[in-house]
Amino acid sequence: MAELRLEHIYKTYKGGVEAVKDLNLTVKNGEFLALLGPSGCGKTSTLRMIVGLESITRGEMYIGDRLVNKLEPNARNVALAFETYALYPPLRVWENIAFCLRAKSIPPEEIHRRVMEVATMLDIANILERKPSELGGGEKQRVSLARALVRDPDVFLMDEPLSHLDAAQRANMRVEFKRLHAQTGRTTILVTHDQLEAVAMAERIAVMNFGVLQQVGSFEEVYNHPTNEFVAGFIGEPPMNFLPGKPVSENGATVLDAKDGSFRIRLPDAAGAKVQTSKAELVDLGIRPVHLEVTRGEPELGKLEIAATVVTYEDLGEEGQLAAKVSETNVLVVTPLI
Amino acid sequence: MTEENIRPPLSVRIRPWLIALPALLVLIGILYPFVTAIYYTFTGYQLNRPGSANNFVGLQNYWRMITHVDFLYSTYITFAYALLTTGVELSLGLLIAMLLNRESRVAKILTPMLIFPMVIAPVIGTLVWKVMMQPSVGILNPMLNAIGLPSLEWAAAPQTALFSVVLVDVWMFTPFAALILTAGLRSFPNAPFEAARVDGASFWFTFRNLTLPMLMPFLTIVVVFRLMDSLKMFDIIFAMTEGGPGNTLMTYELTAYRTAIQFQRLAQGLTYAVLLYIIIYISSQYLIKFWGRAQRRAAGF
Repeated sequence: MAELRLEHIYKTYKGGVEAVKDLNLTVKNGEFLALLGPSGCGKTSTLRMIVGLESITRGEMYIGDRLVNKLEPNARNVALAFETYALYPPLRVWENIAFCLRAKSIPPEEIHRRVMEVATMLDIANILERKPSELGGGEKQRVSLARALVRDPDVFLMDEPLSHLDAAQRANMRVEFKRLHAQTGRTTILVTHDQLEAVAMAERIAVMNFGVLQQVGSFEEVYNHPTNEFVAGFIGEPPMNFLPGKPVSENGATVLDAKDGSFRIRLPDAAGAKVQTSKAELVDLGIRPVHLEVTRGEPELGKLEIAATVVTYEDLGEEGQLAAKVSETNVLVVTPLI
Repeated sequence: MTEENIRPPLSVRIRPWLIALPALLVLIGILYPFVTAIYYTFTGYQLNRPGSANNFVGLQNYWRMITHVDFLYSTYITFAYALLTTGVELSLGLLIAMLLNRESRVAKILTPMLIFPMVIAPVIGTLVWKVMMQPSVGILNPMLNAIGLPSLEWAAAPQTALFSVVLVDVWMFTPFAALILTAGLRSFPNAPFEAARVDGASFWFTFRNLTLPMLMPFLTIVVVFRLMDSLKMFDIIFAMTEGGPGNTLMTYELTAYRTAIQFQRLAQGLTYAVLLYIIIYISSQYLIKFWGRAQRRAAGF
């Protein structure tokens, strides 16, 4: 077990594609961190650099106190659960799990003891004699986890571990991951594009986009205090609405004014000051769909008003989603069932 | 009259037979000479004695073959040639395939070049090698001398005759093995091999436990083709020495040719051909079964 520290990490592929740019990230000893971002954001490149399957173009990476930039994957003592499981097709489950132990010439009795230990922990002791092709998706996932855990790695990485499972299995495995982490207390990094996975399992979330780390923090932090528009729009389901408006000074406060007069909102003082100093012509107002309410006529006291035209309404069973237009912009509202 | 009882017109009834006709013709084209050949082995048919085809002699030809003074040696040289060439081509092909299985410019240029020896007719290739092995004008002896080795008599000496023809066979067919095995290696998914790297497996450990079992179906294909082919190899041996010096390279195939055509004892010569057929049939049946098993094992069943 160890702390993982990335300092000014860059990854540039042949042909000049910059997959990761100036990444600084510290994963504390025993922490469960999720690396979250849309596809192509550099999260998988980051993971592959940590494991050692991809070289680091620039920067320094430490596991514990060791600089691992030039170390081969096997010398880093990290384990990876692959997105596609990457089980060894000709080998039985037992041999799959024991592979790394046999490669290190560990005595057979100890191999047996350790394989049985993880197999029991992951509840796969009954399928040890089977071949990978005879397993279902969830079982393959457990075997791949067992194979990673049996080595007692310093850092445990998972690449989109749930993307090939069905909804029920996903829910199960999420619980399983949390239990495993609680049980082993290992430094764990989860790479995913699914924020629900990240929120459900990780203690901290690192959001990446276009190879740049956008924000690191607990879900509460990235949800309520996003550092930029990307994080604000990426975290939260359904995504945040953005309404363009023109900032105007009015009695010392800043007011956001829609072009066609559909809203006129007074900004809180701190935000107003920021907008004033940026001297922006146009500002996006971000509002989460769950924070909007549909009313008729005059608004209740203390609430702000936006005029909108209803486009469609979808009944989702437990809640409704109303699509509307505010001047030219599409806006989504989560409503109680109508 | 119900509908089922209506007899279709002749043009419809004859259709299945018409469709099957080419296959039937081919079958007859293969089966007729094959059955005739087997029949002849039970006769005393000699090309220079008209009417001898009707002279039924029972198993005499077979008895004469296996009691012949050269039969054991002929068996030895047939299998020695087949196993040596197949073994060397398989190992060398595997080595080349492993070397070519990487993302480098050299591999990209070299892989298509593998096809060159295979587009040359075996007889032509062999004759070129024969010129190179020639003691006075050949290029091989000076090359040996240049690195401090003595000259060889190559195919002209009994000690090195087998080596010489095996060398030509290896030159000609190793690329075939390498191509099949390269295709096999390229077809593998990347992820298990990355997993093995992360798992800390050495090159040899991965090779033994992962690469080799996954490559087994492809290795078997190479063995099936090369073993079948080299058991009945004629072109290279004939073009190089016609089976000599003496009887050094008289395999079943060469013996069959010499007996049936040169000595005109067709029935006796065909007996060797039938024996060769039986050996190839049995070993191919076994190898194809093994291939199926290897394929299932590689796929993880």
